[in-house]
Amino acid sequence: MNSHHLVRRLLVGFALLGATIPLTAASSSASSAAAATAPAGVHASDGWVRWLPGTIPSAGYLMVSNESDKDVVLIGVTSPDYAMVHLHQSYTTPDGNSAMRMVGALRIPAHGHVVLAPGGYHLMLMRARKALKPGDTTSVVLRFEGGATLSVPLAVKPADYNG
Amino acid sequence: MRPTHFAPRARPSSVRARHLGFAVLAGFAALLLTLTGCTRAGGGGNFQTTDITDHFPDLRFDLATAGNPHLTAKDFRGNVVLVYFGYTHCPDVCPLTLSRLASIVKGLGPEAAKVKILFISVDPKRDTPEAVQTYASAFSPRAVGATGTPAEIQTLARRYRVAYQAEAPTKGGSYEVMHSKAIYVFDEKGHARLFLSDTDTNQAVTHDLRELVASS
Repeated sequence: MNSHHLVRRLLVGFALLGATIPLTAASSSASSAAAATAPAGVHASDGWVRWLPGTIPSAGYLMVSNESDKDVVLIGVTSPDYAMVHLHQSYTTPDGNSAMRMVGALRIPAHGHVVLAPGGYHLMLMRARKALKPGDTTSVVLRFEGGATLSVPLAVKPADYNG
Repeated sequence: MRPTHFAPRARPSSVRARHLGFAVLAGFAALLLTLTGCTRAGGGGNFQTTDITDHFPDLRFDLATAGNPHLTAKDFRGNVVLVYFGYTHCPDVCPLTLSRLASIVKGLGPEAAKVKILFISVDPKRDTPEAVQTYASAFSPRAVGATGTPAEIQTLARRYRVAYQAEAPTKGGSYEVMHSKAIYVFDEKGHARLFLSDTDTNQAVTHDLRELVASS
């Protein structure tokens, strides 16, 4: 690990330590938030959500890149298709068990990126407003500190999708 | 996390001096295998994952699945069974593990017909037998989902040293469940044979499942 990576990790870790604001979606904010502008130099890609049966929560994944000279902080996520979206992190406890924690804010360092992928950071998508199936596309709106937002398409993949 | 490393395997005529050590946390156990390395006399495979033959209880349970309130280990006789504990409101890690197991089993080709995945919910409060079966089926036609009463799940988890703990609910009433990452593999007679961890490669797991199917 070079020092650059270390600094990025520390920054992300610091953001997590200070995180206390729950990322709760307000159902009315999705459309208005989508109309706001994306932060300069910030892009999201590789968005997908794992389809699961019934009304249980699904997990969404994507990568956020920040090509700007300033850190950006993701402070909220909404979706037109889900009544509630939380940012979560799966982690392994010291005893080797699997657990999840809610993440209040996620810092994407300048000229860096953060990956949300199975087994780590993920979007917990709850209370679907409509039935989605593999092959569909849904979306989330990322809300950053300062008010900028970014809409990201998520491809709906089958349950057994292996990334 | 791989719990142990093995000494070269011996074939003792009298099998002894083996033990399992378990660290207990919050009333449940985290697995700490301290195997000395040995194999079932006359039937050992050349395994690439962790061999727990003779160190772990046979497959034994009485659970409920969709359409069957008394699913037991007998229903799995003749199959190599991969047992994994989780819950359906687990959108990230459980699907990651189940999709991986599903992919491995599918990759076995015709031998997949002798392998089953048993997904046991440690969240019987929310997971009905039907819900667990529906969830498991979404990953693989070879997957069975089951659960039981809280007491039954607790007994089973203790027997197999599987930790689980429901966390405090959020304002909305939803909650997460901390749970073991362990996957245990039982042979066609229900004897415990392998422990799989997420550091075992798909190739190693595939190799070992083929060994078990071939020796059955």
